[in-house]
Amino acid sequence: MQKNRIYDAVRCIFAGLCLALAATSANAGDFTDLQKAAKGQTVYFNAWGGDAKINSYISWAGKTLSDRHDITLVHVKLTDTASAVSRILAEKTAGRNHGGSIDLLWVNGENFAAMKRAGLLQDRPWVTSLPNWRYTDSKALPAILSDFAEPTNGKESPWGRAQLVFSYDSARLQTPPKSAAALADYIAANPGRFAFPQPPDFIGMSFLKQVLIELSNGDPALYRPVDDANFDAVTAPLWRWLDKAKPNLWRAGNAYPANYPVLRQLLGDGEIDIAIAFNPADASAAISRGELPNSVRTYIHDSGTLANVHFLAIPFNASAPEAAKLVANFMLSPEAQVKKADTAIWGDPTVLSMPKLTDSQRMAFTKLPRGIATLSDADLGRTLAEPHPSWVPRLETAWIKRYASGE
Amino acid sequence: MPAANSRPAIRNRQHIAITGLTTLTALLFGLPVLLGLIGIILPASGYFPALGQTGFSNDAARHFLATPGLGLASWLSLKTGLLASAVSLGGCFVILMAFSGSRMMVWLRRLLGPLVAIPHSTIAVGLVFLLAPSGWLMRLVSPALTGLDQPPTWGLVPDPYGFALILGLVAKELPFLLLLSLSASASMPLSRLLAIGAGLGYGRFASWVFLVLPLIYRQIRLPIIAVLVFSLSVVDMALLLAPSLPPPLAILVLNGFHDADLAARLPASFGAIWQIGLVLAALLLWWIGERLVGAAVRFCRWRGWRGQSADPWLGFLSLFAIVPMLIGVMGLVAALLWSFAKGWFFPAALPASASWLHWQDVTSYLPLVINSGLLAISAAFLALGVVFLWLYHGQDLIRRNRLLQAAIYLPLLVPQISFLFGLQIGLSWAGIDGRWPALIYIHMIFILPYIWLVMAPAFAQMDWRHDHVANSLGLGPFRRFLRVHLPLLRMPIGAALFIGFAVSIALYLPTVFVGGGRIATITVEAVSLAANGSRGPAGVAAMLQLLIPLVCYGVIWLFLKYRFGRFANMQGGGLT
Repeated sequence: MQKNRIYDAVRCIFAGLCLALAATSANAGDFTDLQKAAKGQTVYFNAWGGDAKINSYISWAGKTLSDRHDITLVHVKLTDTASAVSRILAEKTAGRNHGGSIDLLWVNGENFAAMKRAGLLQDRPWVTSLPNWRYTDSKALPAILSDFAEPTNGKESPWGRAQLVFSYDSARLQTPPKSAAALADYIAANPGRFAFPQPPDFIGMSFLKQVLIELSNGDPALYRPVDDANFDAVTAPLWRWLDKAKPNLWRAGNAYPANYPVLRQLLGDGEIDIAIAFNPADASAAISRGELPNSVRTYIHDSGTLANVHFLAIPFNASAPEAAKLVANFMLSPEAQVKKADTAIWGDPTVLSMPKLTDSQRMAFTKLPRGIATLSDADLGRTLAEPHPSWVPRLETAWIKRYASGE
Repeated sequence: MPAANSRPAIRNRQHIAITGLTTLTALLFGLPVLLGLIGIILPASGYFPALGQTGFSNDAARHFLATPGLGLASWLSLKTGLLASAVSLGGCFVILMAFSGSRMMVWLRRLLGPLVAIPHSTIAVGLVFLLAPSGWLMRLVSPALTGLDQPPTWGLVPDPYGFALILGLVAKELPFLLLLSLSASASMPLSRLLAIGAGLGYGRFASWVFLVLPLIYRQIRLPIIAVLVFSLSVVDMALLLAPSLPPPLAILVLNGFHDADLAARLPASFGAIWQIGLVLAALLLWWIGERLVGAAVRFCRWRGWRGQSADPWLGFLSLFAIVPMLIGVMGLVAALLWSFAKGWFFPAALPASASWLHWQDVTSYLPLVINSGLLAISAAFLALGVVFLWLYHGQDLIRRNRLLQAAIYLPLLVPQISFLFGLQIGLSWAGIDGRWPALIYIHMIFILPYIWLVMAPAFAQMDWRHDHVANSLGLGPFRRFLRVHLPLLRMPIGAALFIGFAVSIALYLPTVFVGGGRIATITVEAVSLAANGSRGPAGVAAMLQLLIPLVCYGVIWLFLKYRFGRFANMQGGGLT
């Protein structure tokens, strides 16, 4: 009896071990197959190309991939990610289900949700089977599984993290305003010295969401699908804030910069006092390229700022899905993530979990110089979650109607 | 009689051949545009199977017409488009009148190539950098004259009225029209016409207006219309220079195509059709303007106005006409400085330190430069080949057949954003988007009208007596073409190829849509960098972009000089 039970237990353990072993080897086998299939393929990687440092990081990745895996990585530099989504849609319209022109796409939030709805992504989940997925920890960073509250379902692989930070020139401004309310006072006292990118620009919309979350004290309604009945009530504090700020914005609110690099340029030109970026290291990198003065520093609001994760997705009709997965896997490797986190290269925070790395891998991260204007991890600790994605188009339309229609 | 029977047969065969040529040409040029239009009309009427929309409805139209600020956006487009075209044309004519035949014109002519080849966005970046409150002009006088150590909060660019956009457009289109006018007037007996005018007691101004300008206008009328259509629907320049509250119509439509919500493509498609309506309205207004100006000129002529008193004003006006070109040139100089600058902050008049930082990436741009060059060269030579075929086999036909003319010019007359999205679907369906042949073909149909425009009048005025001499010496048609016609036509061929290169290199939206991002050119790169405010790298891209037309210009010039130099005496009917 007793013996039997032990025997059963041993059998169970053995079977379990076998299964686990089989699963790993199957995974490893799959991946070897993948590598074989990917050999010689060309990956057309469609990624926003407006930042020279990101572009040179991608070309470094391309060089490494070509040396190691015989994969050619072509960076298709987009001015707008939605134009690539448009292209995939055009291909679906034309019935081209194979041999599409895009293999890998840098994406998050709204565009991902739209692609998911229209069935423009790979049918089967692929992300968790990537070997380097083991370095991530979805318990510590749940955002790698849910993109703006939209479950990723294993159809986009996390690439980097982003957090809204403000930058200012400490030579001109001693104590920056660290809340939406303080910012309102600052704008009133310093007419013409603050601007944000014009919605529907991504950073512009993020700024509106930031202000709304702060003023409504994180109204729980913002984390549920938008509701016509309470839209006006929930957003009222935001419009009051903007109405008050508008006459004292840059160019009296009669013009807005097109995007955040232009906004950063305005800070460098001394036309504004405070700029916004979605990358904590952006200002440091700009200083090292001579685009911002040495005296620029960054800060976040006391209540925290919006944070999210950006991803790599493979379209349903990719020509080289195998090589694209290999690229996504490489981008998730500690080696590529360390390089990306380096302020001198790009300065994009990693999505990997430090406890899951080996000591030497961890050391590589901790040894990175932070950059003169970059906040410490502790200072960046306070984050706000992205509202439900359905709020974005509604806020966008409402903002345009109020401030950009000339009516 | 057999002869009487065979003649109608020959005529019939010719007729068939000519009809065939007509249809083929119409297809060659009309097809991409028609394909593109179908790809817009279907979603605009509610049919878009990829999004599960298969029923026809007017929802797209209703949604688009409810766009906030649509009226103001349309008005802004109409206003800036018409004004920019009118000012460009006026400035071009003033410069022709004031400087034709002078040393100044030789200098201006040298500037034209680079200014035509540079993309709109680079000029826009230069303009912003020049005129912004923190811009170069302000830096040059600050703080010495203004006492400012931080830029003023008022600004000229972008302005709420669209003047900055008009200025930017004129800086690009005036040199273009001037280049075409110079090519057109090359085959005109300019000095004789002006001498006749002077002999009859007309001033320089009046001689030009009565005798020369109508001839030039007739020849460049279609490119002017193309400029009008382009100005009405410009995107890249408008992003930086136009007011954005609301933006011009084209940007409103493009926002729809780029909306993260894919369903926004349907109303945007209706917007693309709306844009065509706006173009038609502008064409009508332009046509009315043409009649009015024509009537005014006729009235002056009938009154016997000699216009001597107007001549002194010409110099004054020409100063204003040169300003937009100077701004373009200063924009390029600024781009050059930025490409070497590291740390250039207000109010410093020059960068704090020179650096090779931005030029370190130059090798990664070289493939793009090579792509641009290959594309421009193959498209221009292909277009030249087609034009020669037409000149020898269907010239009269194209002259007479207005439909055929319209087909040639169709790609220039339909706003780009109104057919490129549809064309993308069409090419994707055929499986040829993002491939070289498709891209060369599309570039060719965009530059062929200009090559035709330069070659046709030159061919018509070729001195055929040389040909007769060669014929009587026993040379066959092909050898006569090589040994006689080509040398005779070398100047227009050089000009046509150069215009072809320049237009191809500056082509942005068609390259993006048809190249599918798979074929990247230096222009696409430059626009992307410029739109994102990276002045340093954008400066490098702009310099590389200038390189191609300059090299082409040099090669063409050297070739003409050393290969055909011995024919120099044949210029202007040398035998007489």
